[in-house]
Amino acid sequence: MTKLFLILIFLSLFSCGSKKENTEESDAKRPVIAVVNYPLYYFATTIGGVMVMVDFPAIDGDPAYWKPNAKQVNDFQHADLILANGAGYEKWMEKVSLPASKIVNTSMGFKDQWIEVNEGLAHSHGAEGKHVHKGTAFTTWLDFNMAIQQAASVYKAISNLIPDHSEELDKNFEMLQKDLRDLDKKMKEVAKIAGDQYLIASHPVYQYLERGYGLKLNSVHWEPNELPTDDMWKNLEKTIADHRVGIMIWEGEPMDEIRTKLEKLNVLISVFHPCGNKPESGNFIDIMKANVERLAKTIDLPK
Amino acid sequence: MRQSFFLAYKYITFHKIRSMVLIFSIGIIVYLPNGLKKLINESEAQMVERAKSTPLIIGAKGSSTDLVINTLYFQQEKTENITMKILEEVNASGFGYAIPVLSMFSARGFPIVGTDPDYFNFRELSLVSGRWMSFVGECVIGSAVAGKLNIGVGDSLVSSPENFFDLAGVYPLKMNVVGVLDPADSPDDHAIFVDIKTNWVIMGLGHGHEDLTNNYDPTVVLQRDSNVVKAGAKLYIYNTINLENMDSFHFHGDMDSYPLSSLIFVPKDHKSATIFRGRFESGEFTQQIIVPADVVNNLLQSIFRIKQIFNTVFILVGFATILILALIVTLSIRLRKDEIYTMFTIGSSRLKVAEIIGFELFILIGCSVIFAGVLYLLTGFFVEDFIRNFII
Repeated sequence: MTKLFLILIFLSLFSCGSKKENTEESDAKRPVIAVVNYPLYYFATTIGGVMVMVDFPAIDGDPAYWKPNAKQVNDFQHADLILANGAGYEKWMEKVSLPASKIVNTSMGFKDQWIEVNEGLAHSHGAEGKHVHKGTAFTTWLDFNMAIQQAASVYKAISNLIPDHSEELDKNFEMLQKDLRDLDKKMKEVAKIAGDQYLIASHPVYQYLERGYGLKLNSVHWEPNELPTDDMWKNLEKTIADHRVGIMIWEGEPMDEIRTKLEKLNVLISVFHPCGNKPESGNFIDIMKANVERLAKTIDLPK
Repeated sequence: MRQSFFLAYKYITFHKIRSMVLIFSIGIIVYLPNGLKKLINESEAQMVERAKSTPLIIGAKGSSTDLVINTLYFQQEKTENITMKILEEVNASGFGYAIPVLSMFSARGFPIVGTDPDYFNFRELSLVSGRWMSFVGECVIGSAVAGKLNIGVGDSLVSSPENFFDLAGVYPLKMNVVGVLDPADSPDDHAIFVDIKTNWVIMGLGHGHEDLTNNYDPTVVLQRDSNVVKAGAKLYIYNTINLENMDSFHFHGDMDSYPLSSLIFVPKDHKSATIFRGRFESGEFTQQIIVPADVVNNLLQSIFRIKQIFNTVFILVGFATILILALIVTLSIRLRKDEIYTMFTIGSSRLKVAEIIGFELFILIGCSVIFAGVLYLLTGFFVEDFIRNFII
């Protein structure tokens, strides 16, 4: 009996070992996809499933302003596919060495719809003459229609990478597309209810949400965890008075002092998380659904 | 027999200078045709191999030879540039992938080659020390560059101005050496590799300077209002890129219009290559696409027509050598008439005398062949220089 027991233990240990080896082997075979932000991470993992390994580095803060070190650049260099958001999102890519053939700019398909923004004053030096550093608004995925196009670009790139799994990829992409379409539909309904009323955005990151759904947004440059100066409050009060604004959209929950002061000004707060980085809980669709629902509720509230 | 060999050996060592002259002259005559043949054959093989390992090259219309020489050997011929947009279009075609090459500048006599990490994988290059370039402003150097300049990881190289009378045109950039390549016996050993964007910084398309919005020095900022800040020539443009000033580096204009010398195109398979080439022939792409092996073969055919002349010369030289050798032997016997007579008188047979002279010849020719063999082996080390100085 003891012998049989020992044999069983040995066999179970052996099978565990071989299972681990198999997993390592299959990991080595799976193509590595490096992504620059969480929306693309979500799209790639949803479409690629277990057939791919998606590498999204742990970034503290907004991935748009990430500064990778040499080791992290090396990881991107060795990926089989690099998914970029485009529209000037990943400025760090201008300063690192990456293989052009592996980079897929997921917003290239709607380049003509990128929103141009000025980055600082016009200046001149040398023989070059006066110039302004122009940039583009980059939170493209907040227009869910554009998010669908980005997801389609991710789907195409992964399909080229693993053409033998087309059936599974098709199925995954259709599900993702459906989720994004639902979000788009819901957001359109919210925008319809919002009608002509003005909203204030705490940060200039909602350009595509504004244009995509015909919202009337005024952006300021406030941080949820930084107390605004008196001048900033004065300017806000003026905007509120000029446009009879009753809602302010925030990237994150603002400090209590800000919340109290805004309540005094009869301005309701609605957090609309752009979700550029990995959320603490939930996934992209959950976060966006919650964003849209919160906005819908706030708009519905009597002001 | 041993005695004859001993006498022959003693005779040769007694007449040291004469023997040395004979050994060197016969050795060189034996070496020349063989050495040159080796040089030509190995150069041909090396050039064909590099060309064959490069499936297709895309570049602006013009001299295909210049384009190939620039892309494969970084010879910086004056070829028309193509734009970055073509790289995107070619990569989007789905027939394979393209590797950008921009070779316009040099540092301390070695070409600076702008490319991306695909190049190193494509050429199967490996590092002997350091790491691959990660950031703009970094470079990886070939083994010959490291050896000849005696530099390595942690050192730096400054790009040379394109032209000394145009000091304001191209800013010299101090590049940090982050890696040294393993010897590859190819032009890659003689190159300084940087990211394509580093090359654009050298060209002046991108630069870094202090923040103008926070600079209130009137000698730097000449004009300031709510819309415009105008800086003078005193504005400091960074000549090196490091972690401290990297954020200030930026590029001007549309990067799609930025220049490239050429693209190395690696098709998925033969069928993709054929279809893709067809797109260039049909005019869908306005650039030219060339098979480097064809161009190099044509180039070698014209260059190595001279090989036939060499062959004829070598036959004549060989014939002359045999005649000279026969003359030397005859004259030597005549000179040694008294000595041979003495040998007869002390009882040596005719055969013995012939044996001694035969051994002398054997030792002389043997040493000449060894000398020629050493020269022949050394020739292998000069193939790269021969290609660089006499072929391309």
